[in-house]
Amino acid sequence: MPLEKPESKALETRQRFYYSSDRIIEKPFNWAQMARLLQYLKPYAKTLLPGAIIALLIGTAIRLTVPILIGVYAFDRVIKHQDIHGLYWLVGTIAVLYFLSYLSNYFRIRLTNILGQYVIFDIRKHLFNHVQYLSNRFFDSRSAGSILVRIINDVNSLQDLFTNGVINTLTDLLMLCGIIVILFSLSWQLAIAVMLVIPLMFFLSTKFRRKIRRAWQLVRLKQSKLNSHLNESIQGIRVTQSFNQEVNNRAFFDVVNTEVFETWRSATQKNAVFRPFVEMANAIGSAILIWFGAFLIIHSHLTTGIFVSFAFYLGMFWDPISRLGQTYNQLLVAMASSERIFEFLDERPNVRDAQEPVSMDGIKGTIDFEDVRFT
Amino acid sequence: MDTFRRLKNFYWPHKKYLFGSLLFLLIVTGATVCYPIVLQQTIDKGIKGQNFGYASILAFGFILIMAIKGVAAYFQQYWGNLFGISSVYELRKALYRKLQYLPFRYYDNAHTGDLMSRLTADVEGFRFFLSFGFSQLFNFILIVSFSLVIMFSYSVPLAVVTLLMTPFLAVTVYSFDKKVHPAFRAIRKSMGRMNTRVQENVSGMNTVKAMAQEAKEIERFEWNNTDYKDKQIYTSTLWAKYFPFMEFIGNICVVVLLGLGGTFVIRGEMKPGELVAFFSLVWYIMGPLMELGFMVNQFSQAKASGERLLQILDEPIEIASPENPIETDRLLGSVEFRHVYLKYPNEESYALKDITFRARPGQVIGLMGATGSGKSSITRLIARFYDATSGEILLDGESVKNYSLKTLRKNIGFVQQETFLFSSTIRDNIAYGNPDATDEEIIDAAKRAQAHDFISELPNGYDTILGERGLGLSGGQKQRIAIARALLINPSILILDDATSAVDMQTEAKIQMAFRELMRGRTTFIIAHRISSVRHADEILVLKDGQIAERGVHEDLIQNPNGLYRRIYDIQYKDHEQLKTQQNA
Repeated sequence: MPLEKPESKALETRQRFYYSSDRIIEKPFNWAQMARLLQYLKPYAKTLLPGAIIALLIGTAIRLTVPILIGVYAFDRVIKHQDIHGLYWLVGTIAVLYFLSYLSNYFRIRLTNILGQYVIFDIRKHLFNHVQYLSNRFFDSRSAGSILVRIINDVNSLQDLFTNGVINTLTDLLMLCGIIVILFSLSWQLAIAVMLVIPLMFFLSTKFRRKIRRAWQLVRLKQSKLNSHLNESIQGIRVTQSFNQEVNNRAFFDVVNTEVFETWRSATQKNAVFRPFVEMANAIGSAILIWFGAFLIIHSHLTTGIFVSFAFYLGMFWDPISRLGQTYNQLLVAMASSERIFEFLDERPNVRDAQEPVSMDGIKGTIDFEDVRFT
Repeated sequence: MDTFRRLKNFYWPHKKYLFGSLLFLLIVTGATVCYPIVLQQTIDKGIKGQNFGYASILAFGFILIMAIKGVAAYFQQYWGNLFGISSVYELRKALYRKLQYLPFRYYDNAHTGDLMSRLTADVEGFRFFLSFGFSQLFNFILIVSFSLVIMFSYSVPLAVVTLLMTPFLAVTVYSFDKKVHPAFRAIRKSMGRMNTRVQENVSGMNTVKAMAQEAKEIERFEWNNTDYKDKQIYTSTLWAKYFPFMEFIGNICVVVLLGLGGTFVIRGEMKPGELVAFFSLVWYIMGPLMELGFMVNQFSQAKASGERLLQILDEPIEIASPENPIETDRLLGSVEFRHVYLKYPNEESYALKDITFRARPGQVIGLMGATGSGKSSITRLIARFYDATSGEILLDGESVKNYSLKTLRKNIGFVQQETFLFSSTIRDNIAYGNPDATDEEIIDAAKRAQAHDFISELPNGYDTILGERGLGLSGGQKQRIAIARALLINPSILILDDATSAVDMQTEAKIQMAFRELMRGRTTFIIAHRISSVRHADEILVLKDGQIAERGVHEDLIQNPNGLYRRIYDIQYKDHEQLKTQQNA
């Protein structure tokens, strides 16, 4: 794509506008800060939290049980022994379990969201109320926009963590551990073989993801530059037109627009490269199951039912690992946001009320300044 | 569909990405439905037939198929995205270009916030549909039909059972979708209100503190905060109600399949592997179905976004250079109005009525009158920011419409009432109209605008970057930079639109001094509220309701005891006279 040329020679080499868009989006993980953040969960530790955790335990337990029923029980017991009666019992049991799982999911989604929204409400309230009583000096040194961004955007970016992040992490860890334990108890040989792909999956969802994440951060940075310029060019359009700067500004915009396009293209490419690797990780797992599983069955070390259960569990592997990677990203974003929030909360007003304030009712209105100095 | 047809120019040139992406999608979907088949083959042929060799072939074949799928998925995803971002690149470029040339009339009625939301949210909505909408629709058709073919070939009754479950899911998805989108809109609105509340609070903090309104502000914010929380919780309740239920419908289908299929397998009417395959195939149909509502909504949103973007692109640019314009480097600067009438669009009454006057090169014309009397309108017509409704405006004896806009505006320097500076260095702000100016020229302009001294005192001098809206400088300082900016294009006609109304007396004196320097050898129009700004003008036009009520020089105008000018003079100088007598006493 050929770039548009500016009319003025000097602008071919010079950046015409400057926009500060380099807000740090992520920070390394910090335990103390995390602990302080989790303090906000405390008021709900005995009300909403236990319900949410019970719901998630029930849901996870059911999701872990069903593959055994459909695999081992259905194939090795019912179908093998041609037990129609047992089949009806099995179908009934699974139906009941699915219904329980439906209820537990309902409560889990509801309770975790209520919990998360209450926490966000509390943090925002705390922050806003605190800011109200800070002194003029605080406001003099900051633009209104930068304060707004903390009360609105930074608090919003904690939303994901508190509504889904914390609970999902628990669910996913539980799920992964559960699957591993079950797989080993069903067939340790096949379990070991299949587990070979787990490190690969973890590598993909952390290391690989980091590159992708960085690429998207760059896109957001360039986009915010583009938006700042758009905003300014609209507000300053009358000046631009009266100074004949339409062509020069188009050339500037073209550069920024191309930057956005290029970073976006590169990020989307990195994202796409991720796909074949994920497919391969999954494929290797399935291939091991098919090949080694068939080998074990033929040599009578394994039953068809266990094989089917394995196939189910293998299908449940990638989601929690991938989500854990996302949660990790959420945490890093939350670190940066919460650091900015805490920075405001730690700010103390330097003009305070007197310990025992005097009432100003019935005041006459004389003011005397005696030897006042102010720097 | 019309919207998409009219925006075709932006995305059709990149159709190769779209078709390439869809072609690879065909491979991806084909490979996806291989998994249940391979599983079935392993169980029914490899295991039951005790054929380890066949199982090995399946295992390696599967890896091969998935490798092909992976590569295809790369191209499908990358090109699909590229289709969207390439199209949007062109679209943004066209929008920006359009915005640069839309006349003042358009911006008088447009809100920055609204334009910004079109340029960001609507452009993004359109991109999202281009990048994912087409392929999602295609994917839906492919995977559902592939899966159905396989299902029917394995077991007709089970396939029919699966199909029977889909209407339930479809109804649930439909009713969820109808509720969730208004709920999302409510969240966005609530967020917007909270944003405005905080914005007002923070930017009005001085008032809040002076009036000790903190507790009141906290209470008002509490309302917004609660409202936002409630809207969020309401939406999450919808999710909680519907999503587990959709999953439940799919699960019930699995249970029915197990019962029915299990019976078939026990009776030997069906192979066990085929039953296992069904458990995967069910989700290939249910999954996309759950997303169908999302897809439909995305399409209608993209359409609405496209319409809002077309509104900008279709806007007429009625003020443009003529076919064979007069181009000249320098005008002499004579300005003549002949019976000029002006009516702004969307307004009932005339802003200017029968304006006739003549300014010779180098003369100073003062414009006085109440707000809305038409002072600024006169100056805007000279630079063709608007066109007169009737009558003629001549520059150097030629109609303004015969000049190229460039010639016109290069020769007319504007210092507007509200100074707008860009997020740029002071140097680039002064050189805004003439980016090729040398440092000497820039410093010279700043000196003549009385701005050099304060600029030199800044730590970074001329390289100081001004924030958005020129934060950090006082009104008077910004004004002087704006004057330097106008000086640097060396115009033959200068327009000072109420340039000193917002500054204190001392700064005004400085700026007035700068003006005198600025006016030398140029035809100048001064719009002012203060007599002191116009008293030396060669002619003063006093406007009332768009008409010239009085005209003449200062000394003559104050002689008319019933005149408007005299009344303004009395108001502004009465205090002054009183002050003088008091001081003398």
